[in-house]
Amino acid sequence: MWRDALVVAGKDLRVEGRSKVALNQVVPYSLVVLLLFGFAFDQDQPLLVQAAPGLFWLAVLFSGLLAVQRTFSIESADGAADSLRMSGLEPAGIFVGKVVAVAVQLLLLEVFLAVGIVVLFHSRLEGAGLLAASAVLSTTGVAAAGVAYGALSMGTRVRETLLPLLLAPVLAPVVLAATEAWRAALGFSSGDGWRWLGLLAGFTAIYLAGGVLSFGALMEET
Amino acid sequence: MRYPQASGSSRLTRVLGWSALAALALNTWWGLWLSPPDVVQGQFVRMLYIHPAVATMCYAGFGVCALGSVAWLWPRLRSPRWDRLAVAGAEVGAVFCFATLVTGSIWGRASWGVWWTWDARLTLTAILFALSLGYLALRRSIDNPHSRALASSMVAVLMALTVVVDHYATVWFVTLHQNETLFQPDPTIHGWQLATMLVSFLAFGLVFAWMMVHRYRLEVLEERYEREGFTSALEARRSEALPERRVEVPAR
Amino acid sequence: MNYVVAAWLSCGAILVAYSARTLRRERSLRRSLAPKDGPRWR
Repeated sequence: MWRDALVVAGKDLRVEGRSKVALNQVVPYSLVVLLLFGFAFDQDQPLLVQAAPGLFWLAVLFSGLLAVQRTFSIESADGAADSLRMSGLEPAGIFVGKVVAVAVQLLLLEVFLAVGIVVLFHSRLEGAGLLAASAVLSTTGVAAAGVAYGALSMGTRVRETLLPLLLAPVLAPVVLAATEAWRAALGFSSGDGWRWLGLLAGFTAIYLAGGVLSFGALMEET
Repeated sequence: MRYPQASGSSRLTRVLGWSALAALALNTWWGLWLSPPDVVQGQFVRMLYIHPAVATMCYAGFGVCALGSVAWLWPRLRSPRWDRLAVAGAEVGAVFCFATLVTGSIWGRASWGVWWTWDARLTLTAILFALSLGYLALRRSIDNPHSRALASSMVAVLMALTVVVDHYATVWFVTLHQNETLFQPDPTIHGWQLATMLVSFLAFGLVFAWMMVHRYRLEVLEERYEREGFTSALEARRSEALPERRVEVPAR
Repeated sequence: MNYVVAAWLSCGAILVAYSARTLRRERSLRRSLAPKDGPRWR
């Protein structure tokens, strides 16, 4: 399964590397989202610093939706989806591969967004270990739930509106936990950030397991 | 289908429906009139005779949905009945979830002064409601019955998980919400309050059952309608090709 | 006390509205299915 996953991940990342859609479209979109948050908070500096972790993860969530839509839209051209089904690659491997590809793209985006909140919101980044660990876990969780629900909704006629509706409540706990972990790392709350990390690990594990188990059936049906 | 065509009721729904109405009337009489106001909460305690029961029926709905979904997923048990049960449970559960949020919000405004607060229990219930709307939207967007059942069963499992976490939220997290009233080792509720609360569970339980039966039947009707539509479309096609021959619609 | 009444009424309204909707959908479906089935519906 891992080899199949690597094949799919490599393919997806190569497609992105050549088309540069995430780079040219999703990254600027996330930047605009940050700017909009700034305007929405009326450039209130102290408030923005406090809110930065939450706004960061919201921006990741919105961009993640686009990244997931993209990972499936590349399959819809030229009957790629059917080729994928008939390729003999293990469905679980395809799932993991897509999750890895989406997660990698999102993690790179997060580096960019982190710079963004430092510059735009005057955040001070500390506690790098907790920040990085929670980012990896929550990104994986977002990617896993996204790819699984993406597969669910891709077969429908209303996928553009259905996917956000399905995904947002599912990802709400992940966003919450990630925000709290970052707030603890940045010193905004006295809570134990590592406990939130545990919660993140739990969710991510559940979403990954669920996706691995069900992707085969989903691919057949949709 | 064994129930008469002309009306929507059968023996079962008549029994359920009338007893539900009777129990609701009893609940209203005892709840709003006979039972005394609380020492601490005053008149607001009367919310106790709606909100917990409605919330429990919300859980019941999603529980049934999850059960139906799992049963449908099980290879040897698979049958359209389980899928119908699942959608009925989800829709009725969603209605009760909405009622839970509304009554809870009003109670919150009355006793805490705010229409909403971000504690674990309220937030999880709101997420549950959003999930159920997603479930129903997903179902509406897939025409193939098999794919529809498969896709929705996955969301159903997630809804069930949320129900579990929501239920234990007052225990696992620090919340503003009241803890379990009934199943404590030393319950502080008794007398008229306890009796009325039990009546409320009975009343809303009957309402729940009545709604489930009707929703299940509605699903059966929808399926027939889809099949009929397909069959008659096929027949229309065939008779187009051979205008001299009248093709008989096969009786089912 | 107004809050109490509001809660009871809103709850009732929600449940009644949903029940009415379900019954209405049932009735309209049964009507459109009726001609083909006739007395077989037992």
